[in-house]
Amino acid sequence: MRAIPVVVLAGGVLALAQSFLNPYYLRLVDVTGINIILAVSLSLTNGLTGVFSLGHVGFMAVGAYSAALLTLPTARKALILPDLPAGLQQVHLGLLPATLAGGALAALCAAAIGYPVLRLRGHYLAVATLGFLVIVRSVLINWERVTRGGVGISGIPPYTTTWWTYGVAALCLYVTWRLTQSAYGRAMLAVREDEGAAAAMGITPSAFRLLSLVVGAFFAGTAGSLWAHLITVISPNSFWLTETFALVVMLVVGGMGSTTGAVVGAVTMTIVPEALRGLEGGIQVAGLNLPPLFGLSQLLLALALILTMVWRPQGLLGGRELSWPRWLRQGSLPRRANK
Amino acid sequence: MSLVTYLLQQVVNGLTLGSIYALTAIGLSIVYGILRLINFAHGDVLMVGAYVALGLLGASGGNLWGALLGAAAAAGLLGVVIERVAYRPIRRAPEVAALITSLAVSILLQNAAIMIFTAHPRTFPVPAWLTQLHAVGGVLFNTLTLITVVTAAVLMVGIHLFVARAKAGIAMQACAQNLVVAEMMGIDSGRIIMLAFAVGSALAAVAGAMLGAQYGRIDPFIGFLPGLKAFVAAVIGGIGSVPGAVLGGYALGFAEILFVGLLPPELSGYRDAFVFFLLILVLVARPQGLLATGGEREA
Amino acid sequence: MLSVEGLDVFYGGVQALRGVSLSVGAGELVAVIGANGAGKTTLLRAISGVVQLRRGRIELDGRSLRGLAPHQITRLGVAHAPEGRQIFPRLTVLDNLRLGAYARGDGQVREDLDRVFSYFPVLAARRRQVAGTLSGGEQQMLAIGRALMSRPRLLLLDEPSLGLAPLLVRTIFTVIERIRADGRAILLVEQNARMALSIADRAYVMETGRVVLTGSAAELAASPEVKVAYLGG
Repeated sequence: MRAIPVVVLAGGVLALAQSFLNPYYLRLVDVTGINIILAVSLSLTNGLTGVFSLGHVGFMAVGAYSAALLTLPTARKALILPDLPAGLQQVHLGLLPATLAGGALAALCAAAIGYPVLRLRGHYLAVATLGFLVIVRSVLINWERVTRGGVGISGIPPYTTTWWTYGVAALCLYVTWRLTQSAYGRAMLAVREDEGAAAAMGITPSAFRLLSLVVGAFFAGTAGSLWAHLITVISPNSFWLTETFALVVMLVVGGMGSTTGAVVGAVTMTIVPEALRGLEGGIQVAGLNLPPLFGLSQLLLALALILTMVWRPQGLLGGRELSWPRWLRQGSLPRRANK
Repeated sequence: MSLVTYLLQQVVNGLTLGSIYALTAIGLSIVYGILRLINFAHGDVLMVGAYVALGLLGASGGNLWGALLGAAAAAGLLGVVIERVAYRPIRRAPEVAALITSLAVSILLQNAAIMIFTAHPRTFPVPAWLTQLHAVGGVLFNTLTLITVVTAAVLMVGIHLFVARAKAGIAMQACAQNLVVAEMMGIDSGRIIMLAFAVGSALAAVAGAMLGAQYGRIDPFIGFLPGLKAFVAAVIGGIGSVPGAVLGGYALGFAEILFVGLLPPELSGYRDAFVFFLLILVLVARPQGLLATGGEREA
Repeated sequence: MLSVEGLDVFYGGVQALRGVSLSVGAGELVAVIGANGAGKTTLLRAISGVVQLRRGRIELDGRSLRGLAPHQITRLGVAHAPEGRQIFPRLTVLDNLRLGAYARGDGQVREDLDRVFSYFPVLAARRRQVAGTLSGGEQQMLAIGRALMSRPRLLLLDEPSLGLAPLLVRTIFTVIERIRADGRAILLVEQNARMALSIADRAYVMETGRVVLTGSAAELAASPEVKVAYLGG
């Protein structure tokens, strides 16, 4: 296993980061890890089968809320959510079981909507998945007994650590790799390249599209749980257009359909907006005090994305897998021939 | 209130909401018909129209028609600029690129609005004569509602006649049915597409002004969901046709009002969820819409 | 009037035309014959501006058409009746014909409609019918009639006999001869070599993207190669 040195190296870097970085940067490292899980899991769904889902953040929300409800201390629940069903009221779980449960519930949702929605194509599919996000948001806002509506849930225990985050990210990458390399994964690739040919080979495209949607949703759910236990406050607005858009940009930066590209996109899209956010607080340019400009960072991102689409519609990295240094190449990440 | 009055009241409410959806859906539908583009930014053009109308109402001392006209003109221009700058360069790119671009334009407009108007809602004061209540057979409505429903109906009939009869309208249909051959006929498809964006955006602006007036306040986010719902309406009615968009708009308006009116109040917040649930049902059961006009482009 | 020289056209990485040259004189009827996939349709699509050239020259009366959009080329007097008819199926016959005259604003559309109806009387009877409900032969007539509505100096006809019964093919070819007699130049692409050579002045034979033979229609009809390959011996 040539992947072992990579894991050891990454572990070493993370250990160093933990001991030297101040809390702000450490949190940024954790957010990066969560974004990697989100982007890679979406690229699994999107890249392997061409299912461009705009509902990924909906799965993240399902994972975040359900996990938070499981880890929230019972005393806190009694205080902020007095009308919670009795079964949920008494539960108090650790991060791992709660995250698994959150991922599982997200996967269940994916399976439920996947059956009808995956029969659609292209545009309609995108709108239907966005519709799923609207439905999730609607439930989060209105099911006040369980979600506290627009106020959201606060006081979630800060269980998320760098190790958990990158552990899940590594698992997500590993699963993505195994799926692409497996007979299933090759079938999925076949689905993306030529549905007719896949069907002729006796592969039912819908079954594999569903599988990729469900697995992607599971990891989105776990990312939601990690997010909830990192930030400790969640509300319906945490899982809406800004987040969806950021995720789309990550995939575009990485070149759609590339796993390594998704990682690069996630890292870039965590750091760049953070840097841009500095602008919004108001800055001094040549002695002039510019007033705070809320919305500027999003606006610049949107502009950059439009320009990217105009010049390089295949994404910044053009959908290729990045190659690893030669000494690592065999047995590491999958290298797929993409157009 | 008797049951009949109650139902008639719901009909009025459904007509009002349906008018707004229908006006918004027309632009989405004709643009999709020609370009196979889901213009996520359409709802945000509606939002810009609402802000322009608000500004003009204030500046003109309450001149409603002037404000509507000005908002329509401004939004029409905005639609043309968006098409030119963002959509035209990617006309031959894969469809996912178009989808992403329109999402980006939507985010751009929302955030530009946040920078200019702030994210805080603004009240949308309407002239006093518009809030005058009328009662017909126990059904209550104000002048604004009447104007909304009638104006929308007039505009929709006008657009329908334009598309069905006018030379440019028939050219628009030709572009939707076969863009390449339409070009061979000497039709400058670029100009027709520009016209589709201008007309659709102007109608959305009127819808936006009416939405703002009905709710009494606007913010930079008021457009996105109505835009998305209008797309749902267009799909329900059969995308690509003006009558389809209108029918879908009214159908969706009535369905939403019925949902709110007939179910217990604690469920009425789920109206958005209901609309998209409906969309998924329609897409799966009848992907070509209720008025099956087809809309497939010949090779 | 039309002169084409050294056309190279690619679809992706595949070369569809290889150095194709041909010319059409004023009032001339020129046929291009060849098997399916020889590049005949691509040639017409290149002339009307639908596909881009990699190399070569296309001139209409000395004016280069290269880089012009299809609607601009139409306005210069080239009309294209595309392969497989491609009428606008959900518009009426009359609307289809009026669209043919879209680029013209001279108010003489009435006159042109009458001329098209004199060529194809059945279209007059069906003028209010939605075009998608016409028979295959009627759709072909509509496609030709629609192209004529722009009063083209050069008419590009792509496989007008495709999928039609022999009797209908004869009717359509009779009208093509009348159109030529009315003074329009025609570039006719046909798989039905016998029919095409029977009415053309000159002809070109295309194979795998190249022009391999050229001459007067009579010469080609008599040539042994053409007889064996395209006229069934």
